[in-house]
Amino acid sequence: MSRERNAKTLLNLFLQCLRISAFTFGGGSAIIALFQQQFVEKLKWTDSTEMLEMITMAQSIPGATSVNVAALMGHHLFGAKGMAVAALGAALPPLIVITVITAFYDWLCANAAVANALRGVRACAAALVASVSLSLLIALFKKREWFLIAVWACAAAAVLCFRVKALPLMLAGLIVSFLSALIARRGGKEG
Amino acid sequence: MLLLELFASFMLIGIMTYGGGYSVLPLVEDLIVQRRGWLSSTEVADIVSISEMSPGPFSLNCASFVGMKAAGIPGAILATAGFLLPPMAVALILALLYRRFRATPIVGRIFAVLNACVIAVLLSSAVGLVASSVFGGALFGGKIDFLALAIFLASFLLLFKQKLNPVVLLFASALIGAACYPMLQGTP
Repeated sequence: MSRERNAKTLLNLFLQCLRISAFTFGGGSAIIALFQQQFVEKLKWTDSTEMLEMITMAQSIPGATSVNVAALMGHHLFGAKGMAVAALGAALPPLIVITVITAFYDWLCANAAVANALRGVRACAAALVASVSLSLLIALFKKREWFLIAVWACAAAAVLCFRVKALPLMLAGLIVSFLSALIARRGGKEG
Repeated sequence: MLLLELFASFMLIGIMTYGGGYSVLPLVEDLIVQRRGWLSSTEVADIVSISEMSPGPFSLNCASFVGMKAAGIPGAILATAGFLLPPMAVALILALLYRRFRATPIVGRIFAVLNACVIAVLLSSAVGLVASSVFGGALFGGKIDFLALAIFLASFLLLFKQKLNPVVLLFASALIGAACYPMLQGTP
């Protein structure tokens, strides 16, 4: 019975992703650790080196890291088909939960007590985003890579002083990042 | 038409979101709040709270929330699918190029630069959230909500210094808000 449950099948992949995604709140690194634990240690569908490569890759491509990890795992096992099945499994539980919450959202906000509670919660949410972005900024400065700090300073000046919006700024960032990668590659070949 | 616009908007966001976590937030503010008006800036703060208390990554929760608010269940499905398609396409292309998923130095380099940009726009989003939740919309000249300011400062210190669990703080802030705002309004 337990052998069947650990079998490498598309259905099992879907169910594993569904289960891990449904019971991990807040997202982020917690869910990635769970994927790692389940796929490497329990199911032994991959080894830890490959898993680590998939996690690094998932963080480097656009999108949500945890869904990317699931999708890369799916691709590793079953190709494009597995990728679709794993991503669906990882995305369905949050989609359903948020859809249900949102259905009640306006109705809840109309309640005076909830509205007051939300005023407090919004200040806390602002603190949460502020704290996360400050931690990221400190981590960036600790790397002591002057080029990256210069990029950050230019981007911050563009956003805060010249009111450049997020989309054009990220497009510019994409161009600069590709150029700097090309230059680094050429420099690496010559040196 | 609205469904198509939702799908296209979140596909664009899906292409431009790097680094997971809250990195999608500035793009949602730019494309969804300011350009489309499908969401208000206070609702953005509410997604942060709802997302912390429910399963799934923030970016995906954003897509589902906005889709549901703008166009009901089909909207939620299409916005979420739109957000997921570009990363899957990129992963497939990389898989074809390298046969195996390997974090090459080039990909790492591109990501490091994009990450620096994300931190800049995210800080500005944080300032925007503080403005809307504490200072009545504008950083200067707005009506200051002193209770919200106190909650913000206390939460910030507890999160940043003590690394307290955000869900605990969100619940505490809800209780404080529900208990204290009626009292403040009672004594003008």
